[in-house]
This record gives sequence, C-alpha cells and structure tokens, in this order.
Amino acid sequence: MMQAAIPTDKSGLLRSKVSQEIGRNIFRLICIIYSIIIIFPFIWMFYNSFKTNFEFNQSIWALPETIRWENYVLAIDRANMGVYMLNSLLIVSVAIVLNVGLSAVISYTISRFKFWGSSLIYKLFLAGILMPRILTLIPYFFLIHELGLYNTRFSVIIALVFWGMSFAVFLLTAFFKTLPTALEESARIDGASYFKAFIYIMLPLARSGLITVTIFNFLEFWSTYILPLTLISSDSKKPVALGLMEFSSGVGVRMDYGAMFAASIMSILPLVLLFAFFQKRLISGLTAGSIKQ
Amino acid sequence: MKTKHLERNVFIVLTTVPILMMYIYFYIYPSIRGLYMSLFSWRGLSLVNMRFIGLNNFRTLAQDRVFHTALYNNLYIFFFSSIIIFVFAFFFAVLLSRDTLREKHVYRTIFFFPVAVPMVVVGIISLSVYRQIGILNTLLEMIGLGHWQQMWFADSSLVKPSIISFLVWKVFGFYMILNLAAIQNIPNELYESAVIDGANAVQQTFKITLPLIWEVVRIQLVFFIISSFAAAFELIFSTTRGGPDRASEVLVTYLYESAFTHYKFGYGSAIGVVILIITFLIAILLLRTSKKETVEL
Repeated sequence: MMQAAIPTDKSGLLRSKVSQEIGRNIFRLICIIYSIIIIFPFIWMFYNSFKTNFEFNQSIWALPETIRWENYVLAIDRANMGVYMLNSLLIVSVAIVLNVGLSAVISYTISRFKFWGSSLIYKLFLAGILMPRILTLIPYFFLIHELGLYNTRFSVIIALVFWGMSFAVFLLTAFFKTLPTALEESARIDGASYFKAFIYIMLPLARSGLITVTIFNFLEFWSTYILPLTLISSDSKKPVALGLMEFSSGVGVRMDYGAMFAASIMSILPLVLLFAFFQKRLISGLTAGSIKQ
Repeated sequence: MKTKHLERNVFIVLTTVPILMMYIYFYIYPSIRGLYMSLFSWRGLSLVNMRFIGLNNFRTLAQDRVFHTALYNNLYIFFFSSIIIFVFAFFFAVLLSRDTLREKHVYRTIFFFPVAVPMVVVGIISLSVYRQIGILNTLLEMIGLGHWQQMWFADSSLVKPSIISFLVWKVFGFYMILNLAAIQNIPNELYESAVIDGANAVQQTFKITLPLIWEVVRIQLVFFIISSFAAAFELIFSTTRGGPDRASEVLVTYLYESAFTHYKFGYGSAIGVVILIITFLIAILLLRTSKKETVEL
C-alpha cells in the first residue's frame, strides 16, 4: 500500500510543477505582449517621422526609404516647435524652482514646529488636493485678467507653482517627518540660526525627497496644456504640449503626419532622458511617499 | 531664552505666512470664487453684468440633455477604467512581486514608462492606432481579421472603450508600482506561517496580500478618481473632442466648452461644482464603506 502511494504522490507533485512552469510562461507571454503594446507605438512614430506624407499614405508599416530629417526641420521651422520647446524649458524650470523651494520651506516648518495653526495649514494643503483644478480655472482666468497678466508665461508659472503646491507639501511633510532631528538640534546648540539649520542641515538631508518632487513636477509641468490653452493667446509664448496639441489637431487638414511624429518625438525626448536616468528614483520616491501615511 | 523664543516665532512667521498667503490668493481664493460664480449668470469677459440667479444654473443642468450624457459617459469611463486598472494592477503586482520571472524588473520599468508620456502624445498615439487606416485596422487586415475593422473613434458605441483603453495604457503602471511597493512592505513571516498552515498561493493572495494592502488601494482609488477627471479630459480634448455626437463628452469637456467656447462662465462653474460634489461623494464612499475590512498590523 505504502509503496503504491508514494509514486502517485510524486507524479502529482510533478504535475503541479509542470503546470507551474506553464503558468509562469503564460504570465511571461502576457508581460511581453503588453510591453510591446507600450513600446511599439514609439518605435512606429520614430521611423514614420522620417517618411514623407506620400510614403506614409502608401503604407503606415513600411520602413522609410531613406533617413530624411526634413520632417524635423519642418516641425522646428514651420510648426514652431523650437520656440515651444524653449518656452516649455523656461516655464518648467522657473515653476519647478519656485514650487520645490517654497514647498520645502513651508513643509519644513509645519512638520518640525508645533504652533497655533500648524495642523490647520497642513489641512488646507490637503484640501487643495481634492479640489478639481478645472473649477479653479474659470475664476483664475478672471483673476489673471484683473492682474493684467493674461497672455504671459508668468500666468501659467504661477498656477503650476501654487496649484501643484498641495501635492508637493503633502509629500515633503511626510518626508521631513522621517528625518532625524539630532543633527539639526546639535547645529542649534552650536549657535546656528533656524535659517542656517534649515539651509545647511535640513535641505541637504532632504535631497532625495526634493529630487522626487522635482522629477514629478517636470513630468507634469512639461505635459500641461489646458492651462496655457486658456491663459496664453500668442503663438510665440506657447509651451510644447499646447503647440503639439494644436499642431496635431490641424494635421487632419494638412496631412503633415511625418512632421507631427517628428514633433512628438522631440517633445518627449527630455522626458525619455529624465526617465532613463531617474526611473529608479521615481519608483522609489513614489513608494516612499505613499506608504507611510 | 526670550530672544530664542522670538527667533523661533520670527522663523515660523517668515517661512509660513508669505507662502500661505500666495497659496490662498492664487489657489484657494479662486477655488472658492468658483463655487460663488456658479450662482451667477453672465456672458463674456466682463464681470460687470454678473447677475445673481441662485441655483438656477443647477436647475438648468438638471434639464440639460448634454450634461446628462456627459455625466453618464464620465461615470462609465470611471467605472470601467478603475475596475480594469485596479484588478490588473493588483494581479500584476502580486505576480511581479514573487520570484516567478527573472526579468521582472524590465517589465516594471516598461509598464511604468507611459506615466512619463504627455497626454497629448498619448492622444497622437491613440489616433494613430484607431484611425481608419491606423495601426489596429491594418494589423487586423494583415492577420486575416479584416472583418473586425472598425471606425474606433468615430463609432459612438466604440469610442468610450477606445478612450478607456488608452487611459489604462497611460496610468496602469503607476498604480501597479504603488501596489507592488505596498506588497513588498508586507512582512515575509506572514507568508511563511501561512505556508506552514497549508495555504496555497491563491489563498495567500486573497487572505493576506489583499486585506493588508487594501488601505493603500483605497487611497489610490480616491486619487485615481480625482486625477481622472483631468486625465480623461486631456485625452478626449486632444482626440475626439467629445464626439461623435457627444458619445465621448465628459463633464470637464462640457465645462470647458460652456465656459471657454460659449463664454457661459457661470454655467461652467456650476458643472465644476458638480465635479467637486462627485469627487467628495466618491471619496467619502470609498473611505467609509471599506474601513472595517482593513487589518491592522
């Protein structure tokens, strides 16, 4: 009896191992297919950006006959992509510096000092996360008109800085709370002022949190197009996402597919570089901020 | 001691008050003014002829067919995209957290990549895929399924699923990574003792993993609802613009059209207030109903 029981058991174990192996490879196949669904559109856009419209309309799958950069020249020259990219660089860099700087300062104070209203301030920032931005956009549009800032890049920068502040403060207060207080206290005992302790001790310690917020800001600010769509009217001041949106909605009429793909590739180039360098930090920053709440 | 106290207070005031005032002036004040504006009616860029009409904007909304369609479409997109995203984000996170695949880090990176891609570019990609002579239709032709070809974005019954597919494409990786991190935070001993008690992988997933990360998933869902209003708008505005025949009209596209195309700013604000109310209702619903099911570690 015993001897008969053991082999059947073994074969059962074997079968479960085989089915495990099959299950693993099915999952692998699903992962590979989904990876292709994500990556392929970029490869497709990239090689189609070298085709003429005639080639593109002949076949959307065929590779370009020769590598021609005309579409990129066209995108920069005629579709103004060069100007849009510069505008975006300006808007995004100023907005990031202001957003991260101001958020860091106020997050530090409300996370490290207990004072009248400190938790109220925190809650005001939390409430800001829940607010639908689009509801704010209408009154903000009038506010910008009243301040005489309509059709300026500054109107977009202000909105990016302060509308994005609630999330930055939310992440940074959580981050500051995890930092040890000992270093700061000893600096205080050595006679450093609060400002000095903040700038020379805390900011360097908080570096990874600040970088995480900076990267997320970059991704979000670079992609924003609804704000400039309502706040900027001259073409020379538009950022890249808005320019690309207007360019692509005109393509149906002009049929400049190659140039549109060239413009798309150009617009995501900074993001791809950022992602390549910082994807580990992006992922770890995301998880650090979200778990300990 | 006194000067020390003074220094502390000066520091607190200087580092909070100016920033807080700007935050309130440029964000909180316009937000509240938006609530207030929903009670008025006027057209055009001048606020001089603002007329107080009480809740009339909301009464008009209740009768407005387009608003009903937009509300329905919005809830439809929310419902299906959140189910797809969160069910798959959970299972992919579970499977990628285990040592099943050696190359799992590659998949994590690839799945996360669309998070970095601007919605306008996602729009251009989705148009390329769903165009009449687009990637999908030509692919179907090539593999002999030519009769499956559709006008994906121009067919009112297919446009919502088509939009949902690219919303999922864009944010799936974000929520998968959040789930993955939460799962990795679960102490290993819990699984080890479960294995000793004879629990199989499926039981472990539903009895340990899911209850323990439920708290995080709930907060993710609230965040998803908040961010989806804008995300769906940005995608739809750069692709179908609410068409065909309002089949992909959502609340924010209709708000934008009312306010910035027809200059009915009071009416647009009223739609914004509805969005705020929906956000709050869904947030409260999600945060309340499932509170009991969480397990404290």
